[in-house]
Amino acid sequence: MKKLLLLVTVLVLSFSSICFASDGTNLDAEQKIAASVIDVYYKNGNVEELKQYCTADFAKNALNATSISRVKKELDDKFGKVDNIQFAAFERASFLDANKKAHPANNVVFAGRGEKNVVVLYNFLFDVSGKKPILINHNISGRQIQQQEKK
Amino acid sequence: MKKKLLLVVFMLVCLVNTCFASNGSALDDEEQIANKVFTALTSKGEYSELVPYLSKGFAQTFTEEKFKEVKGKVNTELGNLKNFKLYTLEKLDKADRVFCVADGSKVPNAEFGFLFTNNDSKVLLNGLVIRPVEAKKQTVTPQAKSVTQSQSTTPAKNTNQAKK
Repeated sequence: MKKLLLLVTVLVLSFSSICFASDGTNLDAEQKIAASVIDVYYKNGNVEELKQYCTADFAKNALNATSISRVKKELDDKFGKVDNIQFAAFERASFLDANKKAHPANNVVFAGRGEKNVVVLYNFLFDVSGKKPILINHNISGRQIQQQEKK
Repeated sequence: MKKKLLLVVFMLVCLVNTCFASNGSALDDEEQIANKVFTALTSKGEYSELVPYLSKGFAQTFTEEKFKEVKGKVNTELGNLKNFKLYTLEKLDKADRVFCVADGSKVPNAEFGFLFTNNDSKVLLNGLVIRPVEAKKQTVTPQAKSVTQSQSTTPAKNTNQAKK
């Protein structure tokens, strides 16, 4: 009976997460993937595990050792140590594939504060046309913090 | 026994939903409230249906009288609205800002800006701004000063998005 109870519970939980795929469900999954990418750059996160959530092109071009070490160096040079990296925004978008066909996408933004007086924005673009969001592109940029003049 | 089983499963689902309140679950709640507000303002919805979702402060200014006034203005200035869709969520300190867009018969698009308080996992509407907007195409990812960008895909122009 206990086994049956466990089975039913697992089934119900799985059913609720699969059948009610909403913006919120996608956002939670996207946040997790984005945080894993950020971990790759700052905490030596697991790259191999991350590859299952990305397109093959992204995994090949952005998640190789050369690219990762280049980005790590650039991040360090441009922004220094970045603190308090947090989810900042979610945006519905779309993208064109190689055949110019439009697909629904989500843009997820994380933001942190770099020690070189910049706000660092981490943008992640996800293809949401399938059952689960797939990371297809990312972009990291900095915005200089303007100092207010004292009167 | 079956009843007991059902009760346990139900409680577990409730527990999961309550204890692991994430940005995603907050977004779902906010989207649901936004849809209710849109429906109430554009069809036969009543003010009383919105009251449970209003913060105390906002309920004092967004009274039934104000609701009727806004509903009238939406109808006369924006016309018949349809295709109401969420397009942005911005995270603030213990609050979220959600923007939705609808197509209007008197304006190309109307933007609905919702401000939600997000305390103790309960989402409440704390502000509402509705305005006509012009639809402009814009790229999805910012290109300026980027440190890295994989070249795996062609960034596309977002046709659904209305620029402020």
